[in-house]
Amino acid sequence: MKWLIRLLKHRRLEAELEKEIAYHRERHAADLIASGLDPSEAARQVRLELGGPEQLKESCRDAWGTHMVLESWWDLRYGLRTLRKNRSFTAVALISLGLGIGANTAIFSLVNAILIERLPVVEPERLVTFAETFGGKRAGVVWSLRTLDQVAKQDSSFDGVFGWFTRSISFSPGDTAQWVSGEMVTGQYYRTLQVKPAVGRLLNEEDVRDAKANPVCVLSYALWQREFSGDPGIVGRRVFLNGHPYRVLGVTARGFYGAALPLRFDVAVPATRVADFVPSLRDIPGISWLYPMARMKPGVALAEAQRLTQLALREADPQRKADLILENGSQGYNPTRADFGQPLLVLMGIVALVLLVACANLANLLVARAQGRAHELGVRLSLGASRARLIRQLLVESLLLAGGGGVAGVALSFWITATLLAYLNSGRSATTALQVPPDARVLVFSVLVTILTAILFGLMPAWHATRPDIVSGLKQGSSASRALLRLGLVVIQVALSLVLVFGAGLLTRTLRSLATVDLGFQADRVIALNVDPSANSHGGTEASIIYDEILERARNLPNVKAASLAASTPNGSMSISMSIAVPGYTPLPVRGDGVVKFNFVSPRYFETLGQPLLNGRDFDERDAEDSSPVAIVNDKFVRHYFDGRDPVGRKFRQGKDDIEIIAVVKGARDDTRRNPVDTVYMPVKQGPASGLTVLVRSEGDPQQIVPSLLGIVKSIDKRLPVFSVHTLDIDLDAGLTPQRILGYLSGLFAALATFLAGIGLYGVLAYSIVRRTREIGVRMAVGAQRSDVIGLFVRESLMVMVAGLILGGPLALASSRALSSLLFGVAPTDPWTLLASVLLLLLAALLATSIPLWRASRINPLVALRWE
Amino acid sequence: MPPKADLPQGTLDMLILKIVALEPLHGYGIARRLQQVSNDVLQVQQGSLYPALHRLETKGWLKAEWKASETGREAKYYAVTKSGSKQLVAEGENWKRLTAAIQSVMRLV
Repeated sequence: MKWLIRLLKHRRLEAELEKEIAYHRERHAADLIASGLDPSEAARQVRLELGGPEQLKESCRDAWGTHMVLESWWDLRYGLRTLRKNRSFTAVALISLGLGIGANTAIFSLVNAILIERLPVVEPERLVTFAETFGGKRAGVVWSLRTLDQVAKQDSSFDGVFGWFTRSISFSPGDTAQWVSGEMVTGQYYRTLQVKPAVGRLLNEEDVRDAKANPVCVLSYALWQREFSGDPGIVGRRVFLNGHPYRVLGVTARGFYGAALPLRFDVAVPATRVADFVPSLRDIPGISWLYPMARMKPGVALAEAQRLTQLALREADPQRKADLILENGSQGYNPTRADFGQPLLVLMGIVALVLLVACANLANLLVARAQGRAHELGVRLSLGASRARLIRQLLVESLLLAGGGGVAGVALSFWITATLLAYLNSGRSATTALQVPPDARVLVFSVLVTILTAILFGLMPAWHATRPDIVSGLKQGSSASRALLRLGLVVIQVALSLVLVFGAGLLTRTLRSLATVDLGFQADRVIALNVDPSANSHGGTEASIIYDEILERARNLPNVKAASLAASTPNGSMSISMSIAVPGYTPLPVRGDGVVKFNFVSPRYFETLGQPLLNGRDFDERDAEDSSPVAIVNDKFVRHYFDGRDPVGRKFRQGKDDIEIIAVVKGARDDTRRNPVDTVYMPVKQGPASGLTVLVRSEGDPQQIVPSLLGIVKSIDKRLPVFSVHTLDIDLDAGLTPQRILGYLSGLFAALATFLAGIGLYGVLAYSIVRRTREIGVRMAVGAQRSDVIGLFVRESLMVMVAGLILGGPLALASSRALSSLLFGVAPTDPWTLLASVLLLLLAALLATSIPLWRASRINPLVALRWE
Repeated sequence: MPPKADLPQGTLDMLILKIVALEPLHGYGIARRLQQVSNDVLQVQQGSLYPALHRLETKGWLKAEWKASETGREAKYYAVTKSGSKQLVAEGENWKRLTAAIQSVMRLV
């Protein structure tokens, strides 16, 4: 730190050095005079013996160790002055860098939150999640409370095993109720995650075991602050969850959000109380519904833990076929990872390319500017400045530019991130909304990107500008090599732009195919209303009666064409899969064969959605709770399990039931637009009576019915919260959000890159024309036509474009492979998209070159000949 | 005047420390003292003396103080610090070992 103090006292040090040397000289001269020399001779002698004072000072300064810093400071001031003088250059640089760094920072902050961030608990790297492989396919698992117990008891490799499940819960401290995000947790949850309470204590194994008699819950720090202003008196208070009274045990420590990044829990309840929130799970101890997680003991290898767990599971269930795998659980369960992981990485690649194009563009501008400074640099080189010193100074200038761009970029990134998040969260409830808090890692990232950027665009021009031959071969040679360098940079820009434009083209076509694909039903004018009688402790028959009443009154509203109920809707809110056995069909030995999607729907569901019934009859009043089980299957199911033959009247087996097929419907796609999957529809009365969606098809504007619908629910039970009310087409649209963001942003960035490449081409051509004005004059004087002159430059720009496109073509085709899993309805090597991209870039080139070419055609040979 | 000798590499620091250890001196005084003590054999140039002084000060082996000199003008007086004296002892030992070793080699002939 001493050098810092010396740096701060730098002025005083300088003065003292001056004084010290002056004193030496005086004394020396005085001694010489005393020995008999006359004063002028003495002064001469001193100068001779002592040499130049500046060199001496310089070597003393070196001894201070502050010199590097000071020189950099001078470079900084000099750089600032230079940049202020070249306002337009500085503005272009700051804007393009700000956009580039801002986009990179914004996307990285999402990547960080979704893909990198780990659970904020002690040693998250020791956490594992579980999955299975069967027939080579990986799938996530859910376990029953019993399985969790077996693993926890028999496995010596874990410091705790727990399961959890998340569900929206109606939370009421007294009079009003709201939907919050709930977690159902097993006894070792908090112990395993090693979460500490902010106040009170957290759920332990006894609490969970005894919860049937003594319901308790834990609140999140955020909910505690939001609803109770952090009042420590919350401990022991009674709150109502889905209408059931619970006692608050405590609040989790600040910064703990639950076992799923980036979701945030509000209330945690014992898993043994699940029936309060999901009545269909009541009294089924063997049913699997909990996401398992565990913490490895220190020093235990993953493979060993996997073997032991497998053994424990096989011991409990010798029939078990699938192989268990343990996976890194440091991020907990991360549902957004699956949805947004790959699109985000693609976006990261896109913005990195855009930044590269911006760097190439700036390098180009810097090389051009070096021409104006060739004189200054040449003089300094010949006066003895070292090349390293000059490069350092030029790099400080680049760093200044990049730093300015970085600051602008970080500011911009907040806005970009907020806009993206607002868009991403538009279809989500407040409890499942993504959040991206400011993060130190993101800041470090943007600083590193800034420095890297400065080196990327600054080093090469600095190296080029300070070549030793700049003094001797100042004129022709260097300007030719400079022109070549600039052409090379534009070629790179064009190539990278082609990669971006092609990628954007593919993603845009994907978006269009997705948006226009036939869903198999009519989603417009359908309102989906989520209401759950169990949220106010209405269970079983009571809930069923409430649903029936809502339906009946909804059907009587004006402008309502049809109304029905469904357990799951095509917006992918929830899906149930069960395994079945079809007589005469042998399942293939691959995972998922014999497992089909189940949906429970009321009569007139297909009419409400406009999903055509191919043959057979719709469900009706005959299909009640106690009547024989019946099902309607989709055509995909028929092709798979009945080889396309008419299945009406035939039966298949699910669990203990023989289910008769009464009709076939056309397959419907869900919000992901994937091909329809094998689906079985069963009467809603033969399925769960909670968490259903009321679907209403209107004749006019669906929004006008919404208030009446809400009124109906309220008049039945005013404490019954409506979870969400959407029109189905908006919901389905929200399913395209990742693709839409990708499509729009890739298009935007491709346009930006193309624009920058255009600027590059424009600059190079304009420079080339100025450089060759004299040559043009000569050519025209000896008879060249204007068209010849223009042809000269058209050829030059065409060469650059062709070189860039030839370089970029294979690059584009190679990088589009990374997109293949995100594409829909278009091949990653689609030749038409590639051709369109090439044409688009050529058009951009035409625009960029038109002004310089027009100017070239205006050259007056008389003026040109006298051109210097 | 006897012939002047070049200072062996690295010995200037030791000599400065030794001279200043006797009493605090300013730069010119150090140069003069070195000359006198060595009977004009050792002459140190201003161009090496001052950088060496500043280096030693930066390392914390010398401390400096401005006070009135014998002519009445203010001069920068250097004095040895505690770590400077330690360094002087260490360098002295080293120097003794080195010269003894060199002498034993030279005696061979």
